[in-house]
Amino acid sequence: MSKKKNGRITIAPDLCTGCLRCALACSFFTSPEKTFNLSNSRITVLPGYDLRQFEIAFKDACDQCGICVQYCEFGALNRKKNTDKIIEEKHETGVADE
Amino acid sequence: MNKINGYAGMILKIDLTTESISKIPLTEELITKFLGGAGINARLAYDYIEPDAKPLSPQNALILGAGPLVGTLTPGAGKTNITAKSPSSRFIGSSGSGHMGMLKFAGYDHVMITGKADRPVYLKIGDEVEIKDARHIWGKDTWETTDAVWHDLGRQYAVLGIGPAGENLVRDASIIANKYSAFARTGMGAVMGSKNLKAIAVFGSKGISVADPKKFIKIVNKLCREIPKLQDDNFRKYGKGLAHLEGVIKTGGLAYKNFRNTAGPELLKVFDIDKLLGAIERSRRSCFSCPVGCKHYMLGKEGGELAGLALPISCGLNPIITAINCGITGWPEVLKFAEMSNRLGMDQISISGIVAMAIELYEKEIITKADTDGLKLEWNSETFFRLVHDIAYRKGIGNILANGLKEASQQIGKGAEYYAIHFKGIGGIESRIFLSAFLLGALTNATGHFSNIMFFRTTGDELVRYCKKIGMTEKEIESVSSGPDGYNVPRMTKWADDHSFVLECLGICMHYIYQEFDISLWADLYSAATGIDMDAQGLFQAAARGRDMRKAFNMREGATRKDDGVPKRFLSEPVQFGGKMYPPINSSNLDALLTEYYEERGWDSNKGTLSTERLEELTLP
Ligand code: SF4
Ligand code: SF4
Ligand code: SF4
Repeated sequence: MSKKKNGRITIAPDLCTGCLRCALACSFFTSPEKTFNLSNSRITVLPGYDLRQFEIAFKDACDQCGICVQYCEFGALNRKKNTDKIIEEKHETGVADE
Repeated sequence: MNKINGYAGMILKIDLTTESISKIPLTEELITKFLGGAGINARLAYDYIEPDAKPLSPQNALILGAGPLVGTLTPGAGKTNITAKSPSSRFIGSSGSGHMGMLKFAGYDHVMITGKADRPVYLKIGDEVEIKDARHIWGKDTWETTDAVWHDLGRQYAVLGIGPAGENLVRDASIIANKYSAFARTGMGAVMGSKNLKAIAVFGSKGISVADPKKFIKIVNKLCREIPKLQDDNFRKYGKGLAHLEGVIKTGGLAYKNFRNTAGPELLKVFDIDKLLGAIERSRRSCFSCPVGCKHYMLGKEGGELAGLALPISCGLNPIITAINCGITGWPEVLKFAEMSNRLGMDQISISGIVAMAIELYEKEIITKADTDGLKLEWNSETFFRLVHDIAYRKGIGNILANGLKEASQQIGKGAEYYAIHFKGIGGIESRIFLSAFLLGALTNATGHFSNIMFFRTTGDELVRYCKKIGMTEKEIESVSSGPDGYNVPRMTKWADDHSFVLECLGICMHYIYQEFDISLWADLYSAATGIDMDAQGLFQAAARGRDMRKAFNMREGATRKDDGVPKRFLSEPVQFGGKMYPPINSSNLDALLTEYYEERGWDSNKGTLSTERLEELTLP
């Protein structure tokens, strides 16, 4: 298991609504060709069978950059430490405007 | 043709009789004329469903569509559309929901399913398409069905399932996505059942690209910044439906006991939302790619009135509106109905309309104990739940009632039709207190469903602001801005309907928050995603084309102006609300309104149909 799993991002599954915006954003910003593709996302969000909560997990490839946190509007993903610099770098190589 | 960005570029066609699976490229012509989603679905329905095809026959096609912005980070762009010939209206049927956007990642914008499998099956639409055995799931409710498919394929799949109602060809059966999000209206679940199709599971690993990523993300980020500002405290606290409850009750929107009366403000005490919130733990739920999250998951608190409740719920308002019409008041009953209709897979509005009709027919002795196997039908929860169950399983009188408001009332006869409150066979809502664009939209809509634009009593400056937002010209604004209701209801209905249809074609939610944005902003986003030059007028022209296409479908089925009518009860009985009597709708006034609406649409205002030229232009092969 990668150390990154317990990296800078904390998860609050009880606040997750299942919108998958984190995964859409991750797939887009981390792919060189800038495509949306849930299969390529480094974060997975699965509904629990009883729908009571979602199961959120980071894949090994995740570098805890924090872009997904930026696109989670519900506070289910949070940054423990400031990752602004990493986001900035990624956006520079990527396409985000802020 | 090169694939256009934003689109997957492919239509999947499955014939369940022959088990043949084929792919048809999505043409540039379809895209430029009808945009996508509900718009392209309308055209496909016209082309692939023969005029003499019976709704529950193998010849009907169940058509799924995900618009061009679905599968991207566009806020609220998770909405997909299902279209088929409706078994409740026999005209075009259509319903939308927020959990089928995965279709784009499987590589398809649209799926057309025809034929009938020789055994219960479900469809896996992933990187490969498979028709899979579903004999072990047949008979199960939508929750058990979803669980079974998730066990087979994994929970990354979005699962659309039908319950016993769909299997038993209940005309108003729904399709339920991921256990709670309903394609509720116009009987799409029955069409699925008639094909022996129990579920459709969707996921895939194909990417969706956009033409101008930089510009695209810039607009997405702008929307993300604006959306939180549009959510007021009431909305944050109560979520979808419940936030509007007070408004709906106060404007007389709640029919009581089969539209004989209207429930008054005293109901606010019964449906005290804070009391509900005290008895549950509520968490928010979202459709695919939506940062608003207006849906609910409700968990009853231990020891409280709602202990044991564990319910994902899409809209808190519909089950209240509909249960009240059957004389049911109280949170436990309403939430039980929400769960029941969800698991059995049936449209709350139409089914409760049928139950309310049955109870009134029993009161009027048009049906008696001889018809109900000795069951006494009363305005109480015992009757209500029993009939909902019996309709789903076609037991006893439920076997007739399952045929929908129009057909069941005709079968019962003896004047029963008068008590069936429907628009083109689809259960409706109260329209006598005042007739707004929202309600006129229900009469004129080809699907019988009311308008989704919450355009009630906007007047003056606010009206002008709205008109500008949707890109209307000064001249167009002038033609809609006066009338006895503060605005011209019929002319405005056309614009509000087309506004909602723009969103439906692109795949964006019609929630009032998404209605707030200028159409030009959606046009810019569409251009950035697809690389196709687009402006507000272009989007409206495409929406009008899609709406007209639905009309063309209905005209081919023999629809005339008289199909755009209101239930007879609304024309002959007054209704009381808040201590005041409201007269029945005056039919010559209504006629004048319809004429003006047809005029604004550019239709033949006498016949209420498309002009010959328009029909030709639209339906050329
Ligand atoms: S932290 Fe970065 S890499 Fe990891 S899931 Fe989030 S967006 Fe993807
Ligand atoms: S973690 Fe946040 S962004 Fe991801 S699905 Fe949950 S609520 Fe949506
Ligand atoms: S606003 Fe509500 S209904 Fe609309 S997409 Fe978001 S969660 Fe779904």
